[in-house]
This record gives sequence, C-alpha cells and structure tokens, in this order.
Amino acid sequence: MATTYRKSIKSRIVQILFFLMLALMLLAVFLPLLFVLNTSFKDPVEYMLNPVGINLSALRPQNYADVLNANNLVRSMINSVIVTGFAVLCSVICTALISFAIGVLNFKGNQIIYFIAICSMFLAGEITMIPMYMLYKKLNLIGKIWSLILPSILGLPGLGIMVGSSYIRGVPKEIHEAAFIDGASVPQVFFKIDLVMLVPVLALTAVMTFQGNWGNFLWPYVTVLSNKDAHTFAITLLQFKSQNASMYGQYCAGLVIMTLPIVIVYCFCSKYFMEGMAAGSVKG
Amino acid sequence: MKKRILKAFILFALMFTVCFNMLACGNKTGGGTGDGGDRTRQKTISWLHIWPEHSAAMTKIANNFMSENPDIKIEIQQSTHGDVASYLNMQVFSGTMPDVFFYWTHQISPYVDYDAVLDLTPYVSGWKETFIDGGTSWDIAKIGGKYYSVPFRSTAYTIVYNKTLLETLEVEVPTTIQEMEAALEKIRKSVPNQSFAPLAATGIAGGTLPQIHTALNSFVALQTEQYLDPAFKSNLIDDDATANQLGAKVLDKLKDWVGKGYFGYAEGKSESTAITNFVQGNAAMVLMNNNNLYLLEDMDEEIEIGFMAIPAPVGVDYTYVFGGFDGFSIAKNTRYPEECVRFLKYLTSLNVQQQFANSESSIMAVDGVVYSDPDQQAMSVAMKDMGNSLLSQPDAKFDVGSYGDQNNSLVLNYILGKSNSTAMQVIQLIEENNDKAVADAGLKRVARTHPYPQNVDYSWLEIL
Amino acid sequence: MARKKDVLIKNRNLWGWVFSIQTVIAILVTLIYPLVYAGVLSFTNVRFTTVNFEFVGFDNYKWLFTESAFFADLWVSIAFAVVSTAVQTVLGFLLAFMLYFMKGKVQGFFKTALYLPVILPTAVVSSMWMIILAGDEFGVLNVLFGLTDPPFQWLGDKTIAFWAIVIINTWRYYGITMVIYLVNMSAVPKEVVESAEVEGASRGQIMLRIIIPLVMSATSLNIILSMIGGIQSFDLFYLFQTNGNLTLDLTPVGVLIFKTGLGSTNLRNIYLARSVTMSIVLTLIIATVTVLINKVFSRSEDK
Repeated sequence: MATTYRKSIKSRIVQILFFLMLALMLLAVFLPLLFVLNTSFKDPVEYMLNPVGINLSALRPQNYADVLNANNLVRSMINSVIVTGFAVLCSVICTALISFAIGVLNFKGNQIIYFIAICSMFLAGEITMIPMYMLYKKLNLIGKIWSLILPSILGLPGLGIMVGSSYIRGVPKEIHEAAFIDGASVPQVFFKIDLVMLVPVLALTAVMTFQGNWGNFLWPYVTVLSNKDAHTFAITLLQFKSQNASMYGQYCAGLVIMTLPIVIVYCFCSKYFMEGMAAGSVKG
Repeated sequence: MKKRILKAFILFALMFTVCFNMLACGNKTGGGTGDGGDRTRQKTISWLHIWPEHSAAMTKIANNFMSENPDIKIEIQQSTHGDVASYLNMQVFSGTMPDVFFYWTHQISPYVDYDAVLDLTPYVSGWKETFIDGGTSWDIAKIGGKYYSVPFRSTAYTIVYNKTLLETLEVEVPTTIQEMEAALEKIRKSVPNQSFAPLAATGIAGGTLPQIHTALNSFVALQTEQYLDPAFKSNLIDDDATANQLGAKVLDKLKDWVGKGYFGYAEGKSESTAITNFVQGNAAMVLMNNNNLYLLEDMDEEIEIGFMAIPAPVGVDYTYVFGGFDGFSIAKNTRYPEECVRFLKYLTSLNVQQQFANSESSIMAVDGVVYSDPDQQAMSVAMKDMGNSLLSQPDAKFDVGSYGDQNNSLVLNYILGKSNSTAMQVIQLIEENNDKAVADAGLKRVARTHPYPQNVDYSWLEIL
Repeated sequence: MARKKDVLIKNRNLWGWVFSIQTVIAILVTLIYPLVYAGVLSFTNVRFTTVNFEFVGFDNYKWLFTESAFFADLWVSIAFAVVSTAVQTVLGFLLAFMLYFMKGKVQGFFKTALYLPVILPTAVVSSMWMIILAGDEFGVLNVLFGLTDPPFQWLGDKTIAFWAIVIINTWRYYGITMVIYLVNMSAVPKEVVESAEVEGASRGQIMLRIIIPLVMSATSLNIILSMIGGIQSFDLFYLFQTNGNLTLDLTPVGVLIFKTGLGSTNLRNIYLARSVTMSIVLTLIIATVTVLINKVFSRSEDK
C-alpha cells in the first residue's frame, strides 16, 4: 500500500513538471508570433517608442489596409494562390497515378522509378536551378507566370510517391483480386478503390506541396522578378521591406496576412501535416 | 542485361545532345520590344525606371513626350532600387532588355562587357556639352573611349549639419579635414553623452562609415597622384610598400575616430536611424543621400541646416562626395535607336530637368537648372566636386566580386575595433583578395610607374 | 501470388506506363536533364551567357579545391548542421518523452501546438526573427535586455550569431524530430510497456530499457534529415545577410553556391560553371554523409 502511495505522489509531481516544461516550450513558440501580431496593429512611430508593450488603446488596423493597398500586393496574392493551387493539384494527381501504378500494377520497370523517386529527395536544390533556368530561357518563359506553373506540372513529389506506394502495397491483395475477377477494368479499379484508399496520402501530399510552395521565394525571384504581374506574395513582401524599412507595423501586418491561410488550414487538418513526417519513419 | 545498358546509354546520349544544344546556342533571340511589322505606325519603346516614389512624374514625362512625338509610344516598366540589377541580369540573359533602361552611370561597365548597351558616341557631340561642367559626368561611363550612359540626376551623399547647434557649441563649420577633426573633437567634449553623435554615420556593409574610409583613401590617391598612373583607369595598379603604409594609416586614423566616439553608436545603425538621430537633435551632423532630403522636413523650423562634402586635407583640390549619377542607357539591340536617343534628349532637356527638380526635389545632371529651395541649392553647391572623373575607373574589366565583400567586412571590422589584426595585416589580406580577383578575371596587375610626388604632407593621417 | 495477378490484369505493362507517364517525364526533365546538364556545364567556363564558351576540363574542380571558399563555407555548414542536429534531436526526444506519458487529449493539444513553427513559411520566420534580433535601439532583444550601452549587434558577432541561428533553426524544426520520435514511441506495443509498469518499473527505466532501443531507426532518420537540412541550410543565412546585417564570416556553402550562380546582382560575379561544380561536389558530400550515418545506425541496430 505504502509503495503505491509514494509512487503516485512522485508520478504526480513528475506529471506536473512535464506539464510545466511543455507549457514553457509553448510560450517559447508563441511569444514571437504574438509579438508580430501585436506589432501589426501598431503605428510604426508607436513601435519605435515602445516595441514590446501592448497598448490596446492605440490599435491601428489601418496597417492592414496600407499593406493591402500597397503596390501589387493583391495581384501577387492572386498569383500565389494560383501557383500554389496548381502545384497542389499536380502533385496530388501525380502521386495518385504513380502510387497506383507501382503498388497495384507492378509493371516492368517500376522498381527503377521507385528508386529514382526516392533518390530525388536527396538532391541539393541548387544543382537543378541553373539547368532548369536555362531550359526555361530556351522556352522563352522567363518573366512569365508559366515558369512558376510549369515546374509543378513537371514536378516529382518524391515523398508522396514513397509513402503512396508503400501504402498501396500494404493493402491486402484480395481486395484488388476480387475486383479484377469481377471483370473490372484497370481505370475502374483505380477510381473506385485506390483513389478512395489513398485519400490520407493525397491529403499529406497536398499539405507538403502547399507548404513548400506558399512561402517559396527563390525560384520566383530568379525567374519572374522582371514581371510585376507575375510576382508571388513572398517577393512582394520582401520588396516591401526593403522599400519601407521603418514601417514595422505594416510589414508585420503583411507577415500576418501571409501566414494566416496556412495556420487556419493547419488548425483544421493538423493531423495530415504531422503525418507527413511520421509516415516515412515507422520501421517498414 | 545488355539491352538495359544499351537503353540507358542511348538515353544519356540523347540527354547529352539536348544539353549541348542548349549550351551551344547563344543569345540569338532578338531583343527590345516593339510591335511586329508596324513600321509605318507607332514605334513602341519600353522604358525602365526604379522610382515608385516618382512614378507620377515619370508617367507625366512619358505622356508629354508622346503628345509631342505621336509616332512613338512609351511603355513604362518599373523595378526597385534593390532589384533592378537582378531584373536587368535576367533581361540580359534572355535577350529582352528594355529599350531605354535605368542604371547607375558609374556602374554600367558589366553590362557593356556583355555587349548589352548601345554605344552613344555618335550622338554625343552637342549633347554632352549641355551638362554640368561640360559633361564630365559622361566620362564616368567612358569605357574603351566610348560613351554608354546618359546621366539624369545625381545620387550622392553630403554631410548635413545643424548650423544652429554648431553655433551654440561655438564650433566653426570645417573647411578642411584637419578642421573637421578639431570640430568633431570639440563637439564630443561638449556633449560627452555617447548616444549623441557628433557625426551620425552607419557602420554597416555599404554604409556611410565605409564611405568615409573611401573618402580618406581618395584624398591619399589624389595626394600620391595615383590617378595619373596609366594602370589606374583599369584598376590593375599593383600595391607597393608606400601605398600599403598609407592605407594602414588611413585605417588606424578612422579607427581612432570611432574609438573617440565621433560617430556615436555607429555599429549596425541604419541610414534611416541615423537621419532620425539628426532630426531629433541627437546628432550634430549626418552623412546622407541627397534624395532623402524630404526626410528632414520634420525638423524644427527654427533650426538652420547646411550642407557640405567631406572636406579634403589642406592642399588637396577636391572634396569628396560619394555618389554617382542615376542615368539611362539604351539597349544594344533595340529596334529603334534613333527614337530612343530622341527620348533621352527629351529627358535631359532643360525644361524637363527643371520640372523634375522642382517636383521631385532632385539635383539634376544638366547645367542651368535652378533650385528655388535654398536647401536644394546649398546641396547642389556642396556636391560640385562629384562630377569630377579624376578617380573614376571606367576601364576596369573586372570587379573585386565576392572578395570585395570580404574586403569591406575586413575594413569595417577593423574600424569598429572588432579585429585582432594590425592595420598592416588587414591591408595584406585585402591585397591578397585583390590579387585573387584579378587572377580570376584572367588579368595581371601592373606595377606603378608614375613616381610618387615629393614633399607631400601626410601629417593629417597622424593620430593626435 | 504475383502470378495470379498477372493473369488477372490485362495489359498490365501498358497500363503501368500510361499511369506513370507524367512521372517518367518528370524524372527526365527535373532529374536526369539537370544532372547531365550540370555535369557538362561544370567542365566549361560559362560565366553568364553561353556565347563564346569553351571546355576547360577539370579547371573548375581544381579551383574548387584550391582557391575557392567552398571548404571554408562547408565547414560553417557542417558545424551548423552538427550543432543543430544535436540540439534538435535531443530537444525533440525530451519533448516526445514528456508527451508520451500524457493522456490523449492533452497530448494531442500539445502536439499540435508545438508543431506549429514547422509549417510557417520561411520568409515569415526569417523576417520575424530579424526584427527581434535587430541591432538598433528598436530591436526587441535590445529593448528587453538592454544590457550594453551601444545597442548590441546580435547578428554582428560571429559566435552569438551562430548560436542565434541555431536557436531559430531549432525553434523552427524541433517539431519534426518530436513528432517522429513520438510516433515511433507510440508504435511500441502497449502490452510490453504495461507489463513493465505492472512489474514496478519507473518511467526512466521504461524509457531506457524498452523504448530507446526500439526507436533507433527513428533516431537515425532524425539525424539524417537534420544533417541534410543543416548542410544545405540557405534561407535563414541568406535572408539575414541581405536584409539584416549578419556577418559575412558565417556564410554557409548554400549561400556561396547561390551567390556564384544566379544570386549575385553584379553580372561580373556570376560564374555559372563554378556554381554548378560546387553543387555537384556538395551533392556527393551529402550522399556520402547519408550513407555513412545509415551504416552507423544499421550496425548498432542489429545489436
């Protein structure tokens, strides 16, 4: 009796300690974000006088209006949405198609494709930038929004392929066999069975692609800088900073606008975001 | 197995050919804009500028030009100060340069290297002479004997000083570098508080503290007559013991000034902060760009301000003004060179220049512009030595490149007192980097031949 | 089993290729073409435009090994990667450890909240921290801890800046290591843990004897991901150098490659052939490191 009593106090204390430490981490995560939120409502002059304090009486939602009216912001937001949307669509389609092909059809050469897809994840990003740039230049696409969209169409979602094919392979063979015995054609099996089963993996791919694309500024900077109409949000925001160095309030408002969509999506589908990382790691 | 290897081999051979093709076919695509085949009607010229803050004025200029020249249509493209270089680089690469494009006159050489700029020499006579000083500003872009850029307005740094404050502290406005040093010392003694800066400068990469370093080096170059050496214009002049010693002295001098607090808290300060310091009365002087004049509007009406360049040592004829010209050039493969020249002549006509000066508070490159704002007028007087092309190096065929960044950071660290090396060691490192940069460009440094003048007074470099 | 399927699916191979056509094109265009092109380019002296270039054999590689700043910057990248990896892995593990013993809902809440920084766009993260670390009177850290009289240059000092970026990087990515560990810990069969608890083992003992050995593969994955990410680190450093005033002493190899390639504003500094050469060598180094780490871990796993 005495042992369990002692243990439960000790484990209670440990539990509370853990809770506190986690709460501390939480603080470490959210304080910088709250700071940005706070600053986004401050007048820049006010910020210089009082960078850290909260001043509820001097809120200035005007900052958001300023940023939205700024040169080109609306256009670049639209562009970002289009480009990212396209990217998500393409990666989802690609993942679905290839996972099915590798997992079910088991055709000649699928091992090679699988292997190459995985290796693609290890490639240093810069090594592809210059050759791709040359390619786009030859196609006369530099400066046009197509140079942002085409990479998605030609893109290779390595992680999606890896996870998707393992997923499909994990499905018991009987399901597919039954369908084929019943006389279903290959496309029918794809649409009716595997597409439905792949939904978690596709959601994961969608999320990963969204993440990689929304804040991406390197490739757009290198290709479409010359064409204001094709700028993405990231470029406009960085230009805003360099032009208006001391407009802290408006700049933070811009940061909030840029982050909000993805945070909102995250709150509802956090599961899919995290599964991305976890999926590949469990032994197997 | 064999079949697979053969397949792989064919695949790679195919890829190789494709890649080779991409590599080998150069920029054959024609440049410039212009509607196809509309030769009898309007000719369209694209015009790149980097001033969103002046976009209304630019549009007005374009519209006025178009109404006077109905056969030409101007299409405006806009970039920003920070991005214009990347913007133009991509255009050079894809062969689609804007017909008339903005670029700093003193930095146009790389584009000339890549054969992207039209030679303006055939149009120069009669045009150049309308500029200040007979057009010495054009010489800054005289590369290989040819002209490539038309200066439009100045972009330069002058020292703005608080005349009222100086009078209160009984400090005379300095006219030589020696007087400047004495003035800074006196101000520092009178106001020991470190957050007050006698001369607010920015100790960041590309900031005004490095400018002061360049200024001091320029005075030395003028004193040692380095600019008269034939290898100077191409920036290939090799270092020697005397030059290095003087360079080390300059470093130590400036480090001494920073240590004495003449610049307040310079490290990491941004230009906007420095200007704010001055406006709020926390600095007696500030080194700032002339196009930021409007930022001083918040200052108290009662305070009198004045403008000066960085004063030279006694005996040196030219003050130092860091800056150059915002200019316009024409793309090499534009379809309408004559029309572009017509447009540029319009841009640099006295009328347009005067209007621009009035509405945008800029200091222009053409002679005869009158500045009604007394501050503008004072500034233009202070900047008079800027067009002086004595120390420009237009024929330099290489840039120090990333070694330049390293050199700048070596200098900045030393001046701010953060380095453990001696000044001479820093100079050695800098020269090693310069050697590497020259070697990278496939060139060779040339030993100095022009002899050092005798009886020159370098005592202003001694630490007091 | 496989044979049965063969018979069932008509034209299996044909369908296979139809479905995978996009992937195949993608592989050709985004993988094979760049690699071959990069390879070819690295043997030329193309600076920017490809007019009048020539093949120069191994000159670029020679340059890389003798005169370039490649290895100096690689050292920065590796130091950063190693330190980052260590901090992230340990932190992720500790947090996963704490979360493991939490009840479902609480665990879920913390998990979601703590993972948040991972999903933020890089531009936002770097901008945010740049304001906080700013070296002037208005930098948040200077206001909070106004220690020294001249406003402190958090990014100016090499050591402090290094640790600052490590902390920011950790802040951003510890969620990943945490989640990977947590998922792997949770995969340990419940019965094993429960029986240990019944027998009176403490949490520490459970952790040490049971869970750690079973999550070795997770550790290996975490380390590999962190190391690869660390060596390639680019975004934070680049944005801090261009928009902040991060000392140039801390240039990782990724920034060097970018600035030698398309990232330089001065046309004269662009040397495409050398940039490609550096990225080829970098890829080989990363591949080697990955294989090595894998070998180390698989050997200890077999134990």
